[in-house]
Amino acid sequence: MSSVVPSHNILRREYIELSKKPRERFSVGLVDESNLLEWKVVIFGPPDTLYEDAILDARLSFPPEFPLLPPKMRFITPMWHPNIYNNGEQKGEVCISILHPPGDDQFGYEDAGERWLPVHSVESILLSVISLLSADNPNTDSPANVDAAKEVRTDLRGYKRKVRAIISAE
Amino acid sequence: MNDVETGVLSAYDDVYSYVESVNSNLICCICRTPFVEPTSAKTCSHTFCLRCIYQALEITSQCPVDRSPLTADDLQPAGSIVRNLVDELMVECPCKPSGCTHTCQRQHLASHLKSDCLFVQVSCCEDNCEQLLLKKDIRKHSDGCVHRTVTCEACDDSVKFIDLESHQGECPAKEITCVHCSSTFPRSSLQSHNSTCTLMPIPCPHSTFGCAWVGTRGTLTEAHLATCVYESLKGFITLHSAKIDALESENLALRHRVEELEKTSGSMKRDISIAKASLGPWFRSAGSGLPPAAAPAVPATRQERRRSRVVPLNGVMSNFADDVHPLRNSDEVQGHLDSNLVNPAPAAQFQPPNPMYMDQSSSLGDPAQQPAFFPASTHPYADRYNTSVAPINFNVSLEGSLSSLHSSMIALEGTMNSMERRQDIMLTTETLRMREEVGSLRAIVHGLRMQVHHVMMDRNAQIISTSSVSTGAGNSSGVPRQQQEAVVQGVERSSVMHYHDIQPQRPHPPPLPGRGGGPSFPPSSIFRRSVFLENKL
Repeated sequence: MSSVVPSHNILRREYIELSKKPRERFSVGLVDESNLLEWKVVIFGPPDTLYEDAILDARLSFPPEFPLLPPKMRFITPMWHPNIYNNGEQKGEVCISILHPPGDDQFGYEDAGERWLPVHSVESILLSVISLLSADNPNTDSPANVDAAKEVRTDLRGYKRKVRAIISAE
Repeated sequence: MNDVETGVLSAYDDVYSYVESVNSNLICCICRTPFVEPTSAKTCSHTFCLRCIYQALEITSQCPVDRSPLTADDLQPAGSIVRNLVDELMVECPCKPSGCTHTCQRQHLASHLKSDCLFVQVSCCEDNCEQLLLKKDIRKHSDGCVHRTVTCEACDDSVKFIDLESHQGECPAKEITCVHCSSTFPRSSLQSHNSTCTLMPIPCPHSTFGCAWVGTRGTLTEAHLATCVYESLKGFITLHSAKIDALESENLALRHRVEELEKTSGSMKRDISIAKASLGPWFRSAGSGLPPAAAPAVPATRQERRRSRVVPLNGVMSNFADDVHPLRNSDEVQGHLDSNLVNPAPAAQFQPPNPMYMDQSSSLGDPAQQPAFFPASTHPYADRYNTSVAPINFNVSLEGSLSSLHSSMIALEGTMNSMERRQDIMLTTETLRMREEVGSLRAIVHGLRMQVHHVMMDRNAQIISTSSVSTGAGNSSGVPRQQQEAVVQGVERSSVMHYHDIQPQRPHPPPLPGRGGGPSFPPSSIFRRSVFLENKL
């Protein structure tokens, strides 16, 4: 029975656990019942933030090596945020350091200490993303969306207006 | 949440199912389950499952908890307390879905599954039976398994149950009834019965020759054979069929031989064509012997002339002077060969080197009339050219002949060079001698002129004295001085012109200058030569 991919056991356990005890801030499901590597995630906009009352649709894609390698998270809902890609093939992908593979200093401006660790769980990933969205003043040091980062630095009020407009349009 | 536990999520895996919730200190932070083979890092004391930490270190060499540098060498089995705690955790049997309610310590689960658990899936022990069964049901199954081995009651053979029915149709011990004579016997003796059954219909033994009779075996000898026409011809037919068989086998053997011969001749043809191609102009078919004695007269006479010129000049060369003349015709070659070979080979074996001669011979046609081989004694030119040929041996290969021709060429070149040198020397000598003779002649002429002048002066003096006696004055004769001198000169010239007339009276021939290496001639011959030269000049 060792042929079972290790990621399947842990993902199955985490999925069962999250399904049995629904969390307050998000809920999870499978895109395809036969594939444990693709998750549907719905994030409820944290109160007292720009995203209050918003319902954000996202996907989590796990590699077969999980938890040794990090998953990728991508928003389906249109987002305007310095750390979320807004165009190209990567549109909607969340760019935070804990989702970057360990050891791979791809961008050169990240501390290796901030990257992925096998001890992270789906819940810890989602909580990190929620706290990213909750931040009043987003981090613009290594932006995925350069335009959004520029707007945050130059016109924070305009940025907030734009985010609200996108959220309410959805 | 029932849908979660069915489908892909309920698939069996090697994860233990723990009866009670486990202390979180015993949980691996990578796989989130209690440690399996707990392994600790020596450096930071974090503990993981053995498999989890090895896989994590393959990705990155750091502790998954605190990122401190970590390699496989830094790992050691966790302390015995930790190992005992996880080993003694109570787990459920993984066969619980099949009905096993057994729970035991984790360390005993493997032995339970191996020997005790009746709900483990096992496969039927019979060959070909691929059914998976719970261990408790295996006994019940094997009693009724269609693949079980049973014994045939009739023949005592072991037969699979599923094959029993088809075995009945072929069991050798089963009694069967003959369809012709209705007697019963075991199937194994069917063959022998068929050959003896008197009621079995059989064709006439001569059916192959055309007898159409078919009847029971019993009536064959009694009723049919007495009347069968083929029976009377039996001896004849047997004899002929034996003969035909022998002929057929012989025919077959002959066909094989013909095939072999064809193969051989084909390969020989190929070889010959290859040889022809490589020989090129050296090849000629066996019938067309050597070219006839078509030695052109011109080269022969030229040769003679040449030799007459050459021989007096250099006796040294005469040894090989003849050899350097290359192959004036192939008859010469033949003659040469005759003198060299103890056993002259037939002419057909020789290949003339020059394609020109091939053309000659082919244009002459009818090689039978053409004596292909001239013995040296009967050869028309044998006297003249007894050894005058390049040392070519046609028995050796083309390369050998070419190399001998080449050496002949080299010898010829050497001869030419030496001849040239000799010619030069001769010319130089002759020229020197000529020059000397001209010089001596000039001296002689000068002496004569002086003598004539002396005579003329005497005569002049006489005339002058007589005229002065008669006229009394130098110029009274009326002959101008110049005229007198001209007269003197004319006398002188005429005396030169008729030198040979006065020559015998010449008292002292002028001394000849010394000759170098030239031949010495008697004075008379010198005079003759000088006259000859003078006339020529």
